[in-house]
Amino acid sequence: MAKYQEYSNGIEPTWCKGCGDFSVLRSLQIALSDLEIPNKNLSVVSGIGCSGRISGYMKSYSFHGIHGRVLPVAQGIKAANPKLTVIATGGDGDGFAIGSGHFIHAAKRDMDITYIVMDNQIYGLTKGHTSPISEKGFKTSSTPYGKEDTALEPALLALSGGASFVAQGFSGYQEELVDIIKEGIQHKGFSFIHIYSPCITFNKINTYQWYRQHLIPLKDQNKKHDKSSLKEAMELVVDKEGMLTGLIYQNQRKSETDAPSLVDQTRALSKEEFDDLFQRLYI
Amino acid sequence: MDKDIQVLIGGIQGEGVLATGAYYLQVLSRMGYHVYGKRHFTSRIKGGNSAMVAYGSVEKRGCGKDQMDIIMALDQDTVDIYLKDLRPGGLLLYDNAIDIQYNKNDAEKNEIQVIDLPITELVKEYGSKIMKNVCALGFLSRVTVIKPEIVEGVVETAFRKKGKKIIEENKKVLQAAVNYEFNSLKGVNYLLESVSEKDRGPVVVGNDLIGMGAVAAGCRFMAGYPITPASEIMQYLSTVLPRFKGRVIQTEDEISAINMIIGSSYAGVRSMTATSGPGISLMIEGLGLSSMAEVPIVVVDAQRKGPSTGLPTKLEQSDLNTLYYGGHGEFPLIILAPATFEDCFYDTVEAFNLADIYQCPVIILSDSLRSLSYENIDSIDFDRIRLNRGKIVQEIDQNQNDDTEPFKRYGNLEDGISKRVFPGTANGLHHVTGLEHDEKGYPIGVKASGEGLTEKRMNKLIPLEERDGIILKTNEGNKILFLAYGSTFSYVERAVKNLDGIVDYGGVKQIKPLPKKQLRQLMNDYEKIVVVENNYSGQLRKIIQAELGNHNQLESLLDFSGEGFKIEKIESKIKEVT
Repeated sequence: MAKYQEYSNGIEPTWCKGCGDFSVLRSLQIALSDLEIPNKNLSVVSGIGCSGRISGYMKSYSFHGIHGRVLPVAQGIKAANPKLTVIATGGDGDGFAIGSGHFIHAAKRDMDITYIVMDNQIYGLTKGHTSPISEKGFKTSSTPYGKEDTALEPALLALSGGASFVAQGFSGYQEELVDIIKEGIQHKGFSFIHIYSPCITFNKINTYQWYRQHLIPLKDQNKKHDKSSLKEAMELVVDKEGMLTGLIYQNQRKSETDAPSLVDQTRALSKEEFDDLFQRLYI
Repeated sequence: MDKDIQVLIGGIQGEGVLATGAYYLQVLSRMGYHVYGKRHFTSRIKGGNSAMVAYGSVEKRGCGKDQMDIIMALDQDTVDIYLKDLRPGGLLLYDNAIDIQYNKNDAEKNEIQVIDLPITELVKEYGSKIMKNVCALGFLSRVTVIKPEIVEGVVETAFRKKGKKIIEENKKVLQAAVNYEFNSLKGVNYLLESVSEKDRGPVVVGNDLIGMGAVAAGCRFMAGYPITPASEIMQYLSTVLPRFKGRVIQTEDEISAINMIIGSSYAGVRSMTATSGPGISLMIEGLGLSSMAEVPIVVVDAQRKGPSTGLPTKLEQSDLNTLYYGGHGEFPLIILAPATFEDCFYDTVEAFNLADIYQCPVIILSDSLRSLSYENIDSIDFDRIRLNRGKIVQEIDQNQNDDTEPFKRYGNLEDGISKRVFPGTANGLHHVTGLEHDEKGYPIGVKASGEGLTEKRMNKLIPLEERDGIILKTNEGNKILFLAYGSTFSYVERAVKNLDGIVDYGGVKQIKPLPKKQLRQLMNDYEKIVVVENNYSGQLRKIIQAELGNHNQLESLLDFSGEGFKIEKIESKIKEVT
């Protein structure tokens, strides 16, 4: 058994054969295995959508919540027990439509969690509806005459929200994906990893081939940008219209891992503590 | 005869009338009185009228009375809105910097004494504009002839963090008011003497006690979004929890708040949120997740007048239907309703215990009067605080479960209550989902029955139907019972006592599961049960009827004015049915 399989619970995913999410699942397992994160200290949280099922395939403390709310749950887990490695996961609808409010605030709060979004630019589980990341003019069953508005740019949203780690990947570039997931987990702060993960059933435009043609791997660029510069990171995303893979921005701010576990603090008060609390009720 | 006094202090919002009221209550508390304070305010920071009713009595009451003995007006609105509530022979005091208008004939007919006071003038002479509240306090004390040293003591405590200079300045203003010579006060008709050597304790609002109850229960994480009338709970915990290595996060919205505490509770820390109507609407899906995933949480709903934004600063008890029947699908939850001020503390501790024992959401159903009314509290019984965290597994032996199979998080279908294990525990890995799932926590397959674990979840709360969830006050021979919940209980109690206990009365403290066994007994014991609620449709009465029948025995007494019941209105109903 390969070492990464220690992070699999052996359940066969319900995803379509060829779905980009298989690669993300494998990359996550390899990254965790390389970093030797103990299963018992791993909590994988997911939202609703095809990709949301990922927590159900991990050998971890896995939490599959409700649509769009993966980040609040993940932050709650991390706040309670900072010793855990918390991985939040979900799709583009979960993260950038119904959950977009939580996304920018999680970025701003900068808790030490890793947020992996599997973006297929469409709603797969509802059988092909438009997503906020779908391009203008994109035809789906809910936009039969073409999508009216333009696509949202997740990396810009994350950068302006204050995320301290922003990276992008592609299901087709697994080696790079493993590397950025590892870097994201090791980063102390909110790590946002935006992964283009093709839907082979409902998205006939943004295919593996399409992504290979359009995505620019940063590691292949001759001119390196300053990854600690918010301005350069933003300019890069704007210039390349988000069609990038690799680490875009990193600004290590703090370490939360030394924070005490709130779980250990859940206890009865001593009589002295209680009396003190009562005295403090006076105006 | 119960000696009491009720004063209304009103002025432009932002002028400190609430502080004046709170200080005055603390003065009365130091003189041994039981106190009650009720805020009247609007949703704005400055401007608009704001008033506080301050009540003191020898007997503990938990509410005030319908009429005022004294009104202290710092603006014209106070006179316009509240003069009708001044009792005949009462006292109207006002700041002579304003030229107040009122109907002099009516005032004369009702033998109302009107006295102008140089509040703004004295403040200008001895201190600064912001000391108007202390000056008003001084005059109130002067009129009710309270020993100056008691008032000074309260001011010293209130300003203790602001330094000596500020205390001295305020004392100067206070003394100027206390020593002011009245030329128009006819006799001393509001003499208040200390009724006990014992200070009756700090004056706080119900929300403070809910917050303190949470800390005592071991709650160390709170996520919340500001909303009237629940914010004080977050404020209290924001101040206190860091001292106990706990944490408060003010979230981006209520949806985030409830999901965040589901996450933190899943990870093992006792967690809560607090909100009011609009926030509850946003949290409903989260309640379903907590119930489905069997993750315990405590949610305070300090009800206000709705629907939509409604009247945020006014009273209503109208969220009950939503919470009782709430959300999509069917799921169990527990609703506790603190009836008295002290209940705010003890019921909060109990809410955390029940949440852990039954692994479901527990709602503390408060209301704007229960949450925001001031009372003093002698003491809290430390020995009554018991923590029960239910079925938590700290360690799992490898021979028992070695992670080749997930821990059976939803096992034990006998009483429906499964063992919990927190992330970080070896050999306890498992999956949690809001999808219908099996005992291992995995979504049920296509071949399994869609019933899933529905019965396990729904049936686990049945034992609570046997509990005595209603506190009863009875006199032998009474055939009629008045029931209320939340702040309304104290108002019913007062009306019944005013009429020498000719009906029995009770407070429904556990609303869900409905205490069916006890209610069946009550249906046998009484000819008629009147359910008193602050809403339009009689929600609690209808729930009891839906669950138990007995339609002809039950009737409603309702008020949805937003101000709460006049005691007189309840008295009329008692007279009508007896």
